[in-house]
Amino acid sequence: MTDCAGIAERGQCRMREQLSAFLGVFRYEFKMQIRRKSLWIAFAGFTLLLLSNAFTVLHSPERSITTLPLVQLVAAVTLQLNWLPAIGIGVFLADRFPRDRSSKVDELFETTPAALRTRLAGKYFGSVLASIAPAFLTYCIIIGILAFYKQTLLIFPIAIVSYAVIVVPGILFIAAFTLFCTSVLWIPLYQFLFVGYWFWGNMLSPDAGLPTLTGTILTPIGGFICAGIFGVAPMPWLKGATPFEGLASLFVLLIVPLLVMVLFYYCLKWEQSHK
Amino acid sequence: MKIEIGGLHKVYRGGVHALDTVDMNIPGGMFGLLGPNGAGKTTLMRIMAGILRPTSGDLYIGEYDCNTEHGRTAVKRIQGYLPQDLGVYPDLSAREFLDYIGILKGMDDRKARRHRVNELLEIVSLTSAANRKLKTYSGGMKRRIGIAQALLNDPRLLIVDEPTAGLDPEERIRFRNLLSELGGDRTVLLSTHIVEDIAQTCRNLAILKQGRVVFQGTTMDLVGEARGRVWIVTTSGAKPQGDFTIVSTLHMGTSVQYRLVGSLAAPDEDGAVATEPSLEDSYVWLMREQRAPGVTVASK
Repeated sequence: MTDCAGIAERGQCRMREQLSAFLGVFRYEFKMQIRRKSLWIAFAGFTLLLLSNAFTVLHSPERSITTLPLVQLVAAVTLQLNWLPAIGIGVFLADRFPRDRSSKVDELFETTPAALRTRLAGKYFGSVLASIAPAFLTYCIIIGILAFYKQTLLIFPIAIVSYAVIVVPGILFIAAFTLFCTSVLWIPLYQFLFVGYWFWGNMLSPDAGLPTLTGTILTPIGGFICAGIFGVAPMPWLKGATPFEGLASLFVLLIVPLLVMVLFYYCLKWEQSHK
Repeated sequence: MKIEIGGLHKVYRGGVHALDTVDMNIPGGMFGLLGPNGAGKTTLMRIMAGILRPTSGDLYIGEYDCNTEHGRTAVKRIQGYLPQDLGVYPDLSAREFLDYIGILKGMDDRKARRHRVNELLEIVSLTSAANRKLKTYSGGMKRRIGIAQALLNDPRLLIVDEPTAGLDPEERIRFRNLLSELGGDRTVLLSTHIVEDIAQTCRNLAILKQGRVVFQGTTMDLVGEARGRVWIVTTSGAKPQGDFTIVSTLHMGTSVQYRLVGSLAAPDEDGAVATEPSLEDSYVWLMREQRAPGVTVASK
C-alpha cells in the first residue's frame, strides 16, 4: 500500500496513490473492452467490407484519389475510413458506464480510496483506447495496402499523424458524450439516437434543406480538420475550409470532451452526496 | 478501533427516514447489528463505508471525522467492506478482480499485491478456481470472493452486511468462523437479521428498528431482558392462545411442545414451564416490547 509516512508532502503521496489507481482502472477497462468478441467481429466485418472495396478504388481509372500528393492522399483516406468505425466505437462504448451501476461495482469502488475523478478518467481513456484499437488495426491494414501500392514507407508516419489529428479528437468527443448520456439514457435508445446523430451531424449535406451540424467545426468526423489542415476536401461542403477553421475544429473537438467529462464528474459527485 | 456515532440522521429523497437519531458506541472486536428488514442496518453500514452521506449527525471512526472528505478518505484506506449484494465484473477472473480491487485500495506494489491475492484465495479456498471467470461462480463462491476483496488491505475495520444470506448451513458456519477469527485483532461490524449469526460470533450488539437503536449492550444483557418471559408448553389439546409469540412448535407424537415468548397471566394453569431464553427468544421479546404502545426504548 502507499506509505505516506515517509513522504514529507502529503499531496505528493495522494497524487501517487491516485496515479496508481488511474493506471489500474485504465488497464482493466482496456482489458475488459478489448476482450469483447462482438467488438472484434464487428470490426472484422468492417475490414472485409473495406478490403473488398479497396482494390476497386485503387484500380478505378475514374477515381482521382490516388493521384493526390501523399499527405493529402493519406488524409483523404483517413477521413473516408472514419465514418463507419466511429459509429462502432460509440455503440460499443455505450454500456461501459451503466454496467458499473447495474452490477453495483460502483458502490464497491466508492469504498476504496481511489477518487471518483481518477476512476472516471481511467474508465474513459481505457475504454476509448480499447474501442479504437480494432479500428486502428483496420486502418493500418488499409494504409499497408496503400504503402504497397505507392511503394513508399513514408506513408506510415503520415498516417499516424493523420489518424491522431483527424480521427482521435472526434472519438474523444463522442466517447465523452457517450459516457455522459448513457448515465441517463437506456443503452439501446442511446445507441439508436447516436447512429441517427452520426448520419445527421456528419453525413447530411447542409444543402439538403434540413438544419444539420454538418458543415460546422463541430462535426466529429474530422472533415474540417482534414480540409483545413491537410488541404483536401472530400465532401463538397468542405471546400474552401481555411487552416484556421481546421485548427478551430481540432481545438473544439478536444476541449468539448474535456468540459463534458468535468461536467459529468460534478453531476456524479452531486448525485453521490444526495443519495 | 472505536466507533462513535452521535445523533445520526438519514433521510432519503422522498422523505423516507432511514435513520433517526442513532447514537452508538462500538468497541473493538466483533460487533453485531441486528434488526428486521428495513430497520436501517444497511443504511448505517453504507454511511460507515463512505457510500452514503448522513443527513446530519456525527460519525467518528477511530480518530477520523467522517463528516469531512479527508476523514472519509482516511477511513477508506483502513476499512474493508463486504456489501449485501456484491458487485463484480462477470468477465474478470477472481484473481483479476482481486488484483483490480487491490489497486483501487492503494496496493501499488505489484509483487506484494499478487502475493496478498494468492494468500487470500488460499484463505477462502478458491485457489483452484482463481482463474475462472466470476460469471461461473456460485453464490457461496461469490461471497467468499467478497470477503477476500474486503480483506485485501488487511483492514482495521471490517464492515460486513448480511454476509450469510443465501448460504447453505455449512457455508454459513464456515463464514461465521472466519469472521470470528478476523474479529480477534480488528473491529468487525456484522449486520444481519439472522440472530444465530450474532449469537455465535458477537459479544456486543445493537438492535435497530425503524431507524432507531432499541438496544445496545452485550448478548448476555439482551438475554437477561427476556429472562422469565420464555415458556415451554406441552399439550395434546388446542394451540395456546394469549398475548405471546410462539417461537417454535415441535410435534412429539401425541402431544405438541410450544415455545412461547411473552407474559403469561396464569402460567401454572396453562401448564407452562419457564425456561432459559436464547438470544433469538430475547430478540423476539424485545421486538414485541417495541410493538406495544407506550413502551420506552430499552437501551444499555
